[in-house]
Amino acid sequence: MNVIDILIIEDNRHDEVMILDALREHNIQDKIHVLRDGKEALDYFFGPQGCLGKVGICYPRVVLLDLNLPKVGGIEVLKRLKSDERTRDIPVIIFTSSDEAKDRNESSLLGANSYIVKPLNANCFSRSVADIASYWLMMNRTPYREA
Amino acid sequence: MDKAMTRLFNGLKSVSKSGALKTGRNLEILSGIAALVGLCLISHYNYLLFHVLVELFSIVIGVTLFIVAWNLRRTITNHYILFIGIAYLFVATLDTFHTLSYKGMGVFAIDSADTATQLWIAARFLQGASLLAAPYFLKRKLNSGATFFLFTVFAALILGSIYLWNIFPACYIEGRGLTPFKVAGEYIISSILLMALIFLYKNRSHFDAAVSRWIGVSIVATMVSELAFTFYVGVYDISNLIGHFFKIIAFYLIYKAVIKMAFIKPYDLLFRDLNLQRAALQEEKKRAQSYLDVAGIIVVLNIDQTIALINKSGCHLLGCEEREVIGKNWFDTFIPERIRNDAKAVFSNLITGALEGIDVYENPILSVSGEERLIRWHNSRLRDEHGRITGTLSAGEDITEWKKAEAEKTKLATFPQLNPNPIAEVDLSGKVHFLNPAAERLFPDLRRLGVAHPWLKDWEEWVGGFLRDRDQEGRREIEIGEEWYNQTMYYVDEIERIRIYGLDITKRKRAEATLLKIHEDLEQRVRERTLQLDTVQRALQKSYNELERRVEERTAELEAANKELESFSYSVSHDLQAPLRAIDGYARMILRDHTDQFDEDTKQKFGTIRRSSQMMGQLINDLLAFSRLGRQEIMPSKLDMGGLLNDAWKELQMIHPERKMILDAQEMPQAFGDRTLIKQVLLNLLSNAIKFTKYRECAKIEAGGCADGKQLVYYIIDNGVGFDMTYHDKMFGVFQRLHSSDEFEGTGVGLAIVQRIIHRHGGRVWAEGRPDRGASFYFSLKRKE
Repeated sequence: MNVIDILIIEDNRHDEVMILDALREHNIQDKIHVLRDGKEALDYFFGPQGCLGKVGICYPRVVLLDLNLPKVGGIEVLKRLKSDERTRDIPVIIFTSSDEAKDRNESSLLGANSYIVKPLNANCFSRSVADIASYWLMMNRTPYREA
Repeated sequence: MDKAMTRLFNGLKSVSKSGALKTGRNLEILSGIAALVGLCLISHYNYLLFHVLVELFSIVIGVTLFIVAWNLRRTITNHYILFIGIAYLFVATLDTFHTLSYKGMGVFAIDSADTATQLWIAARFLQGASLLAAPYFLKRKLNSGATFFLFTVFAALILGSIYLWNIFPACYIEGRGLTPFKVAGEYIISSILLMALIFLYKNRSHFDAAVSRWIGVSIVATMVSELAFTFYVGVYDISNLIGHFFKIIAFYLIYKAVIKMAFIKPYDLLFRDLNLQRAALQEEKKRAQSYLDVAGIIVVLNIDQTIALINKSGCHLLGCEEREVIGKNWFDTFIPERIRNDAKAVFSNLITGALEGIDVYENPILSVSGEERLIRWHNSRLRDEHGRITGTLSAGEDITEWKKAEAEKTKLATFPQLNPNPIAEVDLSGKVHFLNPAAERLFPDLRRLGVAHPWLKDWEEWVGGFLRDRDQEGRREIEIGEEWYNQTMYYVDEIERIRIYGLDITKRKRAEATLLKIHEDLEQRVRERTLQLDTVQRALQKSYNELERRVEERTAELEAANKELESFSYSVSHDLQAPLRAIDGYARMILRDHTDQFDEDTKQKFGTIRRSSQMMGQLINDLLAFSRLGRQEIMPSKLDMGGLLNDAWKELQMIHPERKMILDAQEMPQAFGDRTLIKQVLLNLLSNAIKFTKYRECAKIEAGGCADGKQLVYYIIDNGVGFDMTYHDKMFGVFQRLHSSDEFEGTGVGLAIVQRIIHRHGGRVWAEGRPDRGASFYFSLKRKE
C-alpha cells in the first residue's frame, strides 16, 4: 500500500524546502509527495499511470496546491479535482503568495477547502504549514463513502 | 237677412201700436177686419163671389195706382211710383183675365181650374218682378212710354200663350191638383219677392220710414199668399181662401204706400236727396277744414293788411289763438321789423296788381314768443264777384328746418370737396361718377381710363367680392406711380356704387421699405455670422472629434496599461515576494540550525537580513493594496461605525497583546460606504495611533463622530508623540513619513490608503497635532440623503 498523506503541488523549490522544513521542524512524519507543476498533478490523478486507475491506491489525505504553476495552472487543477466525483472529497488547501480577490473568489467557487496566503515572515510561514498539516491530518475528518 | 225681416216686422208692430193710439188708424183697421170677416162669410156662402170680390178689389187698386202714377208722370220726380203704377195696371189686367177664367165663371168656354191658375202665376210673376225692379228707378228716369209698351207686349204674350196657343205649362190638373210647375213657380216667385224685399231694405233710405214699411209688409203678404197657394188641392179650399186674404192685404198696403208717396209726401224723396247732399257737403266741408288745418299755414289778409282768416296750423306756429289775431295788422304783428317795410311793399304791389307773377315768396315770421320761422309763401289774390281784388290768400310752409338741413347738407357737401385725400365714386362697371378735387388733381386720367387706371386695379374682382360676400367695406394698399395709397372702399347698396377713400401712405411705405432693407441687411449679416459660426463650429466639432478619438485612444492605452499593471502586480506579488520569502526562510533556518556556531554579531546581522526582507515584503504588499484601491469598485451599504471600530480594535489588540491600551469609544453616527474599505480606514488610523503611542505607558485613544450639516465627521485622537503641523499636509502622501522608520516602523502607505479611500467616498481627511502632545485624525463622509 502506497499511502500518501500530504500531496504538495509547488513549483518553487525554495518554498518546497521551507514547507518540508516546517513539517520536519514540527515533527510531522506523514508521507509526503511533491509534484512540480499542474500537468504532473493531473497525471498523478487522472493519467494512465494515475492513482485513479490503480487498484488499492488510496488518495492523498490533503492537497497543498500553489496557484501559479507552470503548464497547467493551480485553478485548473482545482477545478478538475473538485468536478470529479472520485476526488471531490479530498481537502484541497490553496497555499499561494497571491492575495488577489480574483484568485480567492475563484478558488472558493470551485470548492477549495481553504485559502492561505504564504506569510512573508519565515516564522509565520513555518507556523502556518505546521498548523495546516496538524489541522487537516489530525483534526479534520473527510466524508466516508463506500467504494 | 233675418235681421232685416225682424226690423220690418217690428216696424209693422210699431205701426199697429201707434195706429191703435190714433182714432183714424183704429177705424182703418176695424173696417179692414170687418171687410175681411164679411168676405169670409161670403166665401162660405159663395166662394166664387168671394173670389170675384177679392180680385175686383185688387184690380181696382192696380188700375187706380196706374191712373195716379200715369197722371203724375210729368211732374213726379219719383219714378218708382211711375214704374209701380204701370206694372200694377198689367198685374190688374192679368188678374181680370184670371177672375173671368175662374172655374165656374163661365165667361170663357173653359171648365178647368188650369187657365185661372196659369193666369194667377203669370200675374204674380209680373207683380214680383216689378217690385224687384222698381227700386232701380228711385234715382233714374223712366221712359214711361217704352215701359208701357214693354208691359203690353209681355201681357199679350202671356195671354196669347194661354188662350190662343196653349203653350203655357199646365198648372192645375183636375183630380190631381197643382202641377210641379205651379208649385215651383210659386217658390220662384217667393224668391223673387224675397230679393225684392232685400233690395227694398237696402234702398230704405230713399223712402219715408212708414212707406218702406208698408211696401215691405205688402211684399211679405204677397209671399205668404203665394206660399198658401202652393198647398191647396182645390180652388175653393181653405189655403186658397187664406191666400186671397193676404192678397187683399198686400194690395191695400201697396196702394197706401203709393198714395202716400204720390200725394201726402210727394217731395219727401226730393228733400231726402237734398238732405243727403247737404250732409255730404257738410262732411266734405269738415274734411276740407281739417285738411286746411293740417296743411301748413293759411292766412287770408284783407286789403288793409289785417288778418281776415288764419288756420289752426298758422295759429299754432305763431303761438296764438285765432280769435286773438283776427283783425290785427299782419305785418306789424308777425313780420320782423327789419323786413317789415319790404314785405308791406310786396303786399301792396300784390294788391294793386303791379306785381304780377310773384306767387312764391320766402320771408321769416315772428311768433308771439319771439322765435323766427322761415316760411315759403304761395300767394294768390282774392276777388269779389265783380272781379275787384279784396285781399290775398297766402299758404305757407315752415321751411326753417329744411333750410337748416339744406345749409348743413351744403356744408357737408364741402367735406369731400375740401378733403386733401382722393375720394371717388365709381359704379360697378368701373365708370367714374364723382371725383373730389384732390382725386381730379392726383389722377387726371382716372375718368378717361376707368378700370384701366391703377386706382381701379382688379376692379372686377373687388366688385365680385362685394356682390358675393355682401361685404360693405374693403381695404387694400395700392401703388400708383411712385406713391402708395391705402384705399377704403364702401359698397353703397342703394345706388350700386362703390366709394373709394384714398389715403397717401407713401411715407409709411418708404419707412417700411427702409425698415425692410435694414431688416434684410441684418438678416444678411446674421446669415454671414451664422455661416462663420458654422465654420467655427465645424472646426470645433472636428477638433472635438479629434480629441474624442484621442481620448478613446488614450483610454484604450490606459486600459492596456491598467491590464499590464494588473499582471505586473500579480507578478510582483508572486515573483518579488517569493525570493524575499526564501531569504527570510533560509536565514531563519540557518539561525535555527546553526545558532551555536555564530557569535552574537553574526546572529544580529542575520536578524537584519530577515527584518529587511520582511520589510520589503510588507512594502510590496502595501503598494499592491494601494494600487488596488484605485480600481476597486466601491460597494456602499449602511455602516455601523461603532461596530466597525470595535472589530478593528479587537484585531489590533490581538496583534499587540503586549501593549497597554485604552480605547474611549464615543458615539459614532451611522454612515454609508464600503464596509471593507471603511474598516481599512479605521484599522489604519487605529494602528497609526497605536504605533505612535508606543512610548507611552498607557495608550489612550479616543474615537467618535458627529453629524455636521451634510457630512459626518469622525475622529481618532491619541496621546502619542504628535507631529509638527508644518508638515501636516505631507502625512497623507505615499511613502511620506514624519518620523524615521527606525523610530516608528511602517511603510508610509497607511495614511495614503486612508486618504484615497475617503476621497473615493467623497469625503475629506485631515490631521491636527503638536509634537509630543498627541495627534487628532479626522475624516468626513457624505451623509446619505
